[in-house]
Amino acid sequence: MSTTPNIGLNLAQRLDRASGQLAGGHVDWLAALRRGARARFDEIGVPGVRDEDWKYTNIAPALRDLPGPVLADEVVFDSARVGMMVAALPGLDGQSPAIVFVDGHFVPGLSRLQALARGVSVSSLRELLGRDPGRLQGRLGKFLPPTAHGLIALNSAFLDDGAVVEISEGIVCERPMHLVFVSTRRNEAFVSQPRNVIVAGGGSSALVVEHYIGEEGARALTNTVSEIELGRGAAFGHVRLQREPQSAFHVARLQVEQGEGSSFSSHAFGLGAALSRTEVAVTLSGENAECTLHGLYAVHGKQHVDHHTMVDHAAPRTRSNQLYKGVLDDDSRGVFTGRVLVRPMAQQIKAVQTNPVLLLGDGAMAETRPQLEIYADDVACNHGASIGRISEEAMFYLRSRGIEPREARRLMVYGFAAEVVESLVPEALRESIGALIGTHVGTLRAGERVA
Amino acid sequence: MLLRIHDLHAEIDGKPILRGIDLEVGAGEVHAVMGPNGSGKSTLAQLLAGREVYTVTRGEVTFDGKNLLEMPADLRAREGLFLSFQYPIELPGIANSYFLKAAVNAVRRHRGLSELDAVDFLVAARAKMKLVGLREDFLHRSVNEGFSGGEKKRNEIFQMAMLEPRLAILDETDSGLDVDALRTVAEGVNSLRSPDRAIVVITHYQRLLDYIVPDKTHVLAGGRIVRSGGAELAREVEERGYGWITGATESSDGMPVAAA
Amino acid sequence: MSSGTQAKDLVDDGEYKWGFVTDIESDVAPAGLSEDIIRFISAKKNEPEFMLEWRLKAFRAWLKMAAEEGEPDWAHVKFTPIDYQAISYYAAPKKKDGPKSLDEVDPELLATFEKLGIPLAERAILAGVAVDAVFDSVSVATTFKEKLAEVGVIFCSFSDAVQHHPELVRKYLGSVVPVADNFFAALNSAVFTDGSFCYIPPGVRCPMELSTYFRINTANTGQFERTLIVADEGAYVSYLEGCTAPKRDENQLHAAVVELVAHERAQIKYSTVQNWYPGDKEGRGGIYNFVTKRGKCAGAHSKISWTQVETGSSITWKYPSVILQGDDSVGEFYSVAVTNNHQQADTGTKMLHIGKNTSSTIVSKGISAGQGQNSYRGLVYVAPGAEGARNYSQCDSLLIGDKCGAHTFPYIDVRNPTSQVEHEASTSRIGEDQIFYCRQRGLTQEDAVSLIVNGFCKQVFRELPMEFAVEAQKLLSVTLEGAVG
Repeated sequence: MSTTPNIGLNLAQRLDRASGQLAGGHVDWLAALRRGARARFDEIGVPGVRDEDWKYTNIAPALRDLPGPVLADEVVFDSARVGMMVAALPGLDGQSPAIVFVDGHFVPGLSRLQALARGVSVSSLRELLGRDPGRLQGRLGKFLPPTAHGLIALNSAFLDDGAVVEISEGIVCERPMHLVFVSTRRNEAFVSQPRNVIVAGGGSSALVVEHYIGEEGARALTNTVSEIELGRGAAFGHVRLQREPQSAFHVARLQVEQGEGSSFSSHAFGLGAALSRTEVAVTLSGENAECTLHGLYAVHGKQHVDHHTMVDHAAPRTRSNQLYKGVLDDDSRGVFTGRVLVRPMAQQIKAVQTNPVLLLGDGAMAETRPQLEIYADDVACNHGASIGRISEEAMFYLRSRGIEPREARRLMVYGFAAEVVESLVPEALRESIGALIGTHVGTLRAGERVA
Repeated sequence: MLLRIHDLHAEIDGKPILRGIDLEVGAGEVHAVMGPNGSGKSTLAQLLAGREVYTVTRGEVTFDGKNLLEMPADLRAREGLFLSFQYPIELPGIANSYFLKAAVNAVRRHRGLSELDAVDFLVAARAKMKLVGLREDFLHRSVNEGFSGGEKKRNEIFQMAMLEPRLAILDETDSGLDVDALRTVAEGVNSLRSPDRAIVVITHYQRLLDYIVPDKTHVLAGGRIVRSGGAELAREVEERGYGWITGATESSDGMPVAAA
Repeated sequence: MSSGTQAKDLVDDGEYKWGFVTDIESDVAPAGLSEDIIRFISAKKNEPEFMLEWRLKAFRAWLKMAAEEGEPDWAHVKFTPIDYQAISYYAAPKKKDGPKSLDEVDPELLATFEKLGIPLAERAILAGVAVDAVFDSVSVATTFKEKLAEVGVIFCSFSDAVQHHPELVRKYLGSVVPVADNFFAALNSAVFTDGSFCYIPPGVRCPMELSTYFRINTANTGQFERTLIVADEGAYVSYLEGCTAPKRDENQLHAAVVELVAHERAQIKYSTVQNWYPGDKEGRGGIYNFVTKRGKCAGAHSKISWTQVETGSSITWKYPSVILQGDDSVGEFYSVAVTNNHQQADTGTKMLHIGKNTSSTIVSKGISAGQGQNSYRGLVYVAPGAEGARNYSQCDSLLIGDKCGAHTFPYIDVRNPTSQVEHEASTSRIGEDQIFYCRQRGLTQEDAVSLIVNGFCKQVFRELPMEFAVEAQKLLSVTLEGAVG
């Protein structure tokens, strides 16, 4: 593995500034976990483009000369304004529970944790580590692979705040729970590293939406890790709405461990940030577990968006289905890597993956790497990828019905993207995210450049 | 005259397809255009609707006195020219209701009419869907996606009913339909016949013409109209095939048109 | 099923029937690699100065790569590092001068090729195929040279080409695969001893299939041949390549380079049936087949088509590629790769779209059995200026047994929005219902598998010249024998 040690070293040193203030500093196991992660980071550093997994995404420029985190006592923001931004989030009605973080720190005044269902708790990681650290012992980082890249180690080395969601066995949550991360600081660049832990007990059913938003001009690097553990027969939905400002960088890892008969559904929307890298790694550890991973990236200008999925079929009779769609306008660049691994003896596997990409802009670039690695024989695995323009035939059909080229294009792009939204439940969330996507694709300028 | 085609020549990738078409269609008339495979029928239909892959090399087409060939496809549609596609296109992710409302309002704006709101649109759509036997849940499905052949053709006629064109061109609307579906589609078309609307039925076989009886019939072969007549010409073709007509062409200009 | 039984008669109960050793006296250079050895090879072959310089340049590039990065490690294959100083880089059947005609060729060699099914006596050859036979590192015979010369086609050993057509060699050698292209290509460039050379003049359609047959014989040698084919404007040639080696317990390295150049409206069709010794059932021995094959569609409307059937070798590492430089040029890659027992294959292609309206097709069929590991690795690249580029790729893998692996690693890199790229891949095992259906109609399990596998590969086989297609089908049956329990 090739890395860029100097950038990593400087970055870690700047982050050290927060060391004295990290949550649960007195807890031995936590200190050991951080030390281990720090040692790992010092060893491997920041991933570089010579690293096969980061071939198309150069993260180094985002990390160079980056100051450290915003410390707890330095958080300054306009509460009314952020409150309005939160209230405008899709799917967040007056009833839904929400936990809000600003520049990496929990803000109780903007959060709404009274509305929780029985058997469900949502808390700040920092608070929990202060109050009852034993609850997280052995759980934090439990399923992250030891070989994971440097930025994940960096998150662990400085883990401090984030959301902890616990759902007891058999509990069915009707309303989505919202985890909201807002970047506001504009005068200076900063690093924010939320760490979320979600435990869904056996037979439970719940949905969590992670929102990443910010003030235009906020120069944040968000480096977030979310860990989800699904008990036997649990059904869990996860939505990530990455709408960071164009001035921000976003790196995210979602690590999911699935027990027997559990089902997991993920929707990852990559719309914002100058550069983003979003990873979803799922291990199907229990028999009959299944996952559906959906993604939509729709970017323009000079945005760079990289989605990376890893599905590990570690048990027999597991199924996975992936659909990632990309819309690339202007000079944007979209990267997709999807790896499916079927381990020896994991028989009767079904795995499907598709990655259609629409190129709208003259300078747009798409890189796609679907990968199948299969060590068992009773499998049915498929992947498909297509990269191209809007179909001329479909355009003609729309125009033959009187629809103007610009509107026809917008319709086509929306129709292309809608497939990812369609599988969202509940309906209220689907509709509000659908509307958001409709507006978002309407802002792509492709419609104006019709011949 | 609503549609006037004069000496129309067209080619694709340098290959001539139409070699001098002359055709006039007046308001209120129903014309049938028949011909063997490869005679240029579908090219004519697509070209009239504004498909850009064809290059017109000679001739002119006017629609209600305006130069049709100068108009982009969507303007032709708004002017009132409708093409029922031989192979309707699937548009995944775009609901029928959304698509059709966008189309209807584009046409209405062009005609100086007020746009339909969601309720008015739904009322109108429900009434017209009955015409072709489509169920209400159809409006929420994506355009033509996963439709059977019959459903696609009904959808085309439904769209035609909604857009109220002045000239409708039905390109092989009968292909792939069983007898019941054929009758439903034909009834839908007949209900749209009116003194100010013209219909051009393009077909290989005569059977659709049992249900939609044309005022005039034309036989297309080798890229030109080789014979015109009344409804009886269609029946004659049904009985005798195309050979007796196209064979005559071969002797006149030496082109083996039947194989074109 | 009749074809199954016929195949069986031909294959000595599934053993590798090409595994014999020819007892012939050879000139073998001492093991090891140094500038001296390269000077020795160059002198031995009486090469002009530019060749020696070219070789030394490659050798220095290789030394640098060896010191900095070593062998490429990105492929999905495992092997113990090769000791490059333990290999002999030159082995040739002893003979004072090269044979002037077939009559001068050592009868032992003729007999060897006869036994391999490659008769070199022109009378005995199937009409329409000219053969260049390469034994260890040296071309021993080229048939139909004169007949080809009548239409201006040059078909000879690489050594002959260096002597008689140095201007063509100088112009094209390394023009598609530069000396420092990759580790194994650099090694080959430094030490290659022979191979085939072919030039088709403008407007000529080569009147017969051209073919090279490669044979490794001597122990502890590497085989490093070089093939260069140039089709000038409007020319056409179909080229076949086959290879075998004796059974030995130790691994042997085969690092060849093939370069193709197609000028305007020229077409080159290159077919390979690769049947190097695959090692025994426990994975001992076998050839390391680390090959660089690349073609350049230099002119507009040119076409290069690779077809390969890879059944042999213990490890296969090769990516026959096409640089689509000329506008409207076409690249094709059709591949069947089989791994059984402990064989490993990491193979695929690169289609590099540079010119406008270029198009490429990739059809890859991987079959894994026993403990074999089979990977498809391919790149489709569309450069910013490649307006209207098209690619269609289809990669299917078939698994036989639960100890093997099938892997797919396509890379798609599109930098022009007017292009259209489609990729599809599937991995599955042979359908039990298909086998049952065949057996219900009276076929044995083995015949049923063979039938289904052949059906799976049909898209590729039909790209092969007729005799090769038959040969390929038989090889496939042989390779998979014993894989079905």
